[in-house]
Amino acid sequence: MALRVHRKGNPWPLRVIAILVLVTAARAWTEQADAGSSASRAPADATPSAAAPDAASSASRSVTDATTSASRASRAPVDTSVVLYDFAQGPALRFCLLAAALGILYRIWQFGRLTRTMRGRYSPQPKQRVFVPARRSPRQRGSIPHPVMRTASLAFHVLLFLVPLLLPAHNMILHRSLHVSLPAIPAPLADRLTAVLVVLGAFFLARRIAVPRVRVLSTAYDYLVLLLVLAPFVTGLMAYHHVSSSRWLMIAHVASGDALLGAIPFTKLGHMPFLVFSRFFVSGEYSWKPGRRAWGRGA
Amino acid sequence: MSESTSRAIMAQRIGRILSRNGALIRLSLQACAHCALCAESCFKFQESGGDPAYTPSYKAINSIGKIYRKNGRLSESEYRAVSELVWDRCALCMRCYCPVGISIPSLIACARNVCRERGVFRTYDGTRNA
Repeated sequence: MALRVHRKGNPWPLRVIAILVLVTAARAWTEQADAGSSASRAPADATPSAAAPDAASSASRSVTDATTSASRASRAPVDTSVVLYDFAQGPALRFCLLAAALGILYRIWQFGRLTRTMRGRYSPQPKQRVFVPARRSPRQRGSIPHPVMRTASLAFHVLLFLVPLLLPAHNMILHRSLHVSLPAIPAPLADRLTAVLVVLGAFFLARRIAVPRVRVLSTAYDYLVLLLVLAPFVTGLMAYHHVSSSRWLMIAHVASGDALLGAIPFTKLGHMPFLVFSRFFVSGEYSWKPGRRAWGRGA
Repeated sequence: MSESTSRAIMAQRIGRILSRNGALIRLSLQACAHCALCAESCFKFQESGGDPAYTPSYKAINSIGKIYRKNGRLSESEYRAVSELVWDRCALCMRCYCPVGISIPSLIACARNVCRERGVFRTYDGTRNA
């Protein structure tokens, strides 16, 4: 007789609901933004909030696309690249941001379901806690043993967040659309940091190919995810250095950025929320903060 | 008890283990970045002189990962290979370090449970028929 697995925790219905909610919310948001942008095209009576998304689109367009007529009339012959660019930095970006936010919320809920709060401070069964003398000091215990990989990994992950957030061009768009901005770093510095990040990414790629123990673990999916992570940075770097003046480069930049954001909770990039849960909330020898939760459902 | 009945009971028990731990297995396997940074923390890996098959994540992915993906429907030889991974290549000393914080020992222990239900397990000299 064939094995039968009863998956009580099968989240498929939940996923379908989540996707439906996502699509509906993104459509509502897009329609609202469209209404906002059409309202702002009427000269006088545009409310600031409604005008904001349109300001974002026109601002980013004028940044990237200053030579072409930014506010082209809707009756002009349709240029596919303009339509695609507007789609990538408008509805697609909103959809992916929403997907990432809801996906991470789902992961938080899932984490809560898969762990339980412990009664004791460190462990529910203090007698079973085994202390093996560690060769490394407690301060080092929570970090990657290999010094090169520790430095490279830390630099890569910090830059992954800092560069896009502190990039002057991104902050300009953010300021024009939402009237908020983060402190920006000088553009040449951001350029160099991006180069460092791409080099580190190439190093990880080379390591994946060259080191046997990583190679046996690697699948096509791993390479794909690494390339997905590097894509917005490489295209951004190319755009900054005017490798190509084509608008398609910016479309590739924005679209890969969208894909990267949206992919966080649903792919291997899910190690980002997972790391926060496991290293900060779960009690363990390698935790960065002695959490009060343990894996496994409640009794 | 007939052969088919005992196999059905075995299948049911394996199914129960997998369904009880399914969400954690899925989440852990998804979060694993396949970085192989856990290798250095494994004394068996160090002792083997860097054999990739001793990397903790390799052991977890090729034991419980395989079992979970195939719903426990592994052949006898595949189960034997899994048991070699989870008993001979892992001492379950709980010293493996995962940068992402995946509980690799939990996954290996789960694979051991499934193997035991399947009747494949570690035997020690003279204890087989004890």
